[in-house]
Amino acid sequence: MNVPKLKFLAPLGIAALLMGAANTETITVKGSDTMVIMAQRWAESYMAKHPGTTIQVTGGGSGTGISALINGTTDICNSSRPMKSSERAKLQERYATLGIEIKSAKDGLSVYVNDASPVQDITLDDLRDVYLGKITNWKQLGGPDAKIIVYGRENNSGTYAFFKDHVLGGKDYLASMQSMPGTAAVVNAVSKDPNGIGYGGMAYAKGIRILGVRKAAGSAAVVPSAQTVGNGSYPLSRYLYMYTSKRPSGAVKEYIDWILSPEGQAIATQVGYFPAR
Amino acid sequence: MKSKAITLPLALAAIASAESTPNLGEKLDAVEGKLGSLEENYLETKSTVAALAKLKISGLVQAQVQYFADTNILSSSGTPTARSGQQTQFMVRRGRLKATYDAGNGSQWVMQYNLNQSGLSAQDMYVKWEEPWLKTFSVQAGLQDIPFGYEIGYSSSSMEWLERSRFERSAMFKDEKDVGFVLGASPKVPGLDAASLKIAALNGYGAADATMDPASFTARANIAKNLPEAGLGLALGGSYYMDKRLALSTTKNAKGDKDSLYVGESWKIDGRTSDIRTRSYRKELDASIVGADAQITWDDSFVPTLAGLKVLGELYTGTAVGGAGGNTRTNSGDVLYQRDVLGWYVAAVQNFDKVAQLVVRYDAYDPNTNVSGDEIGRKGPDGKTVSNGTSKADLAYGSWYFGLNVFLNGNTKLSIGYDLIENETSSSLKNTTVAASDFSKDVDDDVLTVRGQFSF
Repeated sequence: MNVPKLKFLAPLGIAALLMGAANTETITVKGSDTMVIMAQRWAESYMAKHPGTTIQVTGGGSGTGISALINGTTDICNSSRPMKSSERAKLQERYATLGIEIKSAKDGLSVYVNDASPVQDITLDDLRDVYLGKITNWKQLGGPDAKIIVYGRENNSGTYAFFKDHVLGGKDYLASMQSMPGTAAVVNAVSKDPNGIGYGGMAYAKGIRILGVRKAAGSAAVVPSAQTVGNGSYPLSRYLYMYTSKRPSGAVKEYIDWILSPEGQAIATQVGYFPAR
Repeated sequence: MKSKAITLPLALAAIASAESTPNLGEKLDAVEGKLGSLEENYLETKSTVAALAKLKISGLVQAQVQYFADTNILSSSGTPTARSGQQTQFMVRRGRLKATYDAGNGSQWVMQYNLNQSGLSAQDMYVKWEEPWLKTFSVQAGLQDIPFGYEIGYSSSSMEWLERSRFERSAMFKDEKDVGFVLGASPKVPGLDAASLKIAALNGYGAADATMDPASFTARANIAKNLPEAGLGLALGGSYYMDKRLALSTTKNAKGDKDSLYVGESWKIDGRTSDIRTRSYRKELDASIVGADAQITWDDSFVPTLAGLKVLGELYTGTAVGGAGGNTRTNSGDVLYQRDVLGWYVAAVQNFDKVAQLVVRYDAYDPNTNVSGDEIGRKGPDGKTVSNGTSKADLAYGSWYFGLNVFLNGNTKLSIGYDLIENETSSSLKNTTVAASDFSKDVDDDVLTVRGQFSF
């Protein structure tokens, strides 16, 4: 073994490693399960065009993503609800910043029923009463005489929080609600259960039917679509957010700028959501 | 011929096998059965996990090494002390384990202990209930933080400097905890991002004694307003602490006072000989402290590598009651001392991306604003007794702190801090034999601390 030659090569190897490290950017994205499919598509498409950038996308729920942002274990947090003031306070405590909020897409929070259900639409009041346990039989909603099986999300979900704030008026869900770990699980459960009802992002609505939502008993039922979500006439329209702990810079900024570009927004539409602007 | 002999048994075996193989429908039924069974198992596990998720365990360990500028100086945190001739010491500053059970119905149970080389001590032990209707009001009962000032309620794991302010450590709040009830309100106020009020009735004797009659009243109100467009956050707080101390002795009728079973002595240390000479038995001494605090955060990440700047400060003033050696509250006292106090600090914390913080703080504390300079420890005509009851406990301090925090990952923080401590001097407190006790000059008590913290 030629030791002197190895010694000569060692600094070169270290330099090469450092150069390699400098040329490879890794961006971590964590949070909303509602957004995870869209986030993965964004990442795949971006990485294909930017081979020097690696984007790691994981779900876990909006609350989990925001905790990771506060702990410094993610660069970008996806959230299907706005950040709470208590979470913002923790971010302030750790970084002395308020966080940067980026509206990355729009969604119509959809109410799912089984394909076999004869019910076509529901008022916001009835939807609230179903999830508070005040309406328990489909007959009360114009359906068959059968108990309503209520599916929802777990409490680390942004969709759970959005639904609670905007439909339940901040009140607690009925205790017997079956909490599912992700929107796909809600869709799967409702698709198998003729008496089931659930909620989640539009992009997941496969194998189930989406109910029209009425603001009040006398108003027209509105089904979430590009037009109704875009113009806000669908009562459960919402933004899907990305958060960073400070002003984005470098590779993170380039990636976010690309997401907000027509190319990135087109992917949001392909997945089943709508452009943020 | 040989190949035919082999083929025939194989063919018979294949036919037998085909007859025993279940058809597709049976296979599907079997798979569905297994899936159903798995789903049942999953639901069982899920309900168990959901119940366990209500119990959250968190904790931290802070291990540190301290280097003292001089030997024979007490450590900045009080315990343990550096031995004579020793300038370096290792210690576990905090070892916390906290369990929180949130029932999800507004009720919460919290228990926290501190364990270090000095032993085990209770930190928190309370129940909290938030009313379910407005979700604005709450009541918290048990051993808990004293709702006074900004620092006391600030998590030890998040704190940017190594120790809380000298005032907070020295004037009646030493262990930051007390036993009693705290009523809380967090109303949604239009135009504000946060508003809260806490009112507490506490024993007033800290975590160590839960048997005294309630005498302490504490209140704190704070508001916060964020201006996201400017990256600016503003928060203000005001606090009030009121307490009573009864000078009592464990010796029954020690002074022959027939009107009371227990007697004690109380002193007003204001530097006037006439007052200090007047002893009053079984006298209640009033403590009353007001505080104001402000925190400003500003997102300065438009400068590359910077993240956010925090500037904050607190001011406290009032009358404290303690012992001869200082204003730290005592469990009981047959001799109590009343002093007027003033304390304040101003600090700045600059964040660098997600990885580091630079910290500068100036912390001032005057444990007795009525006396100063050579008046402290002034000798009487006999040259031996102190004429006005003052001692080194009445010396004012001013300390600079310079620190660097490095976040190695989401759990681990490395802190390096230097405390530059200056004391008020008094020629009356000259000590020619022990340099660390010679307060006729600034004592060489600066300390460098390197601390590793793991929290989860």
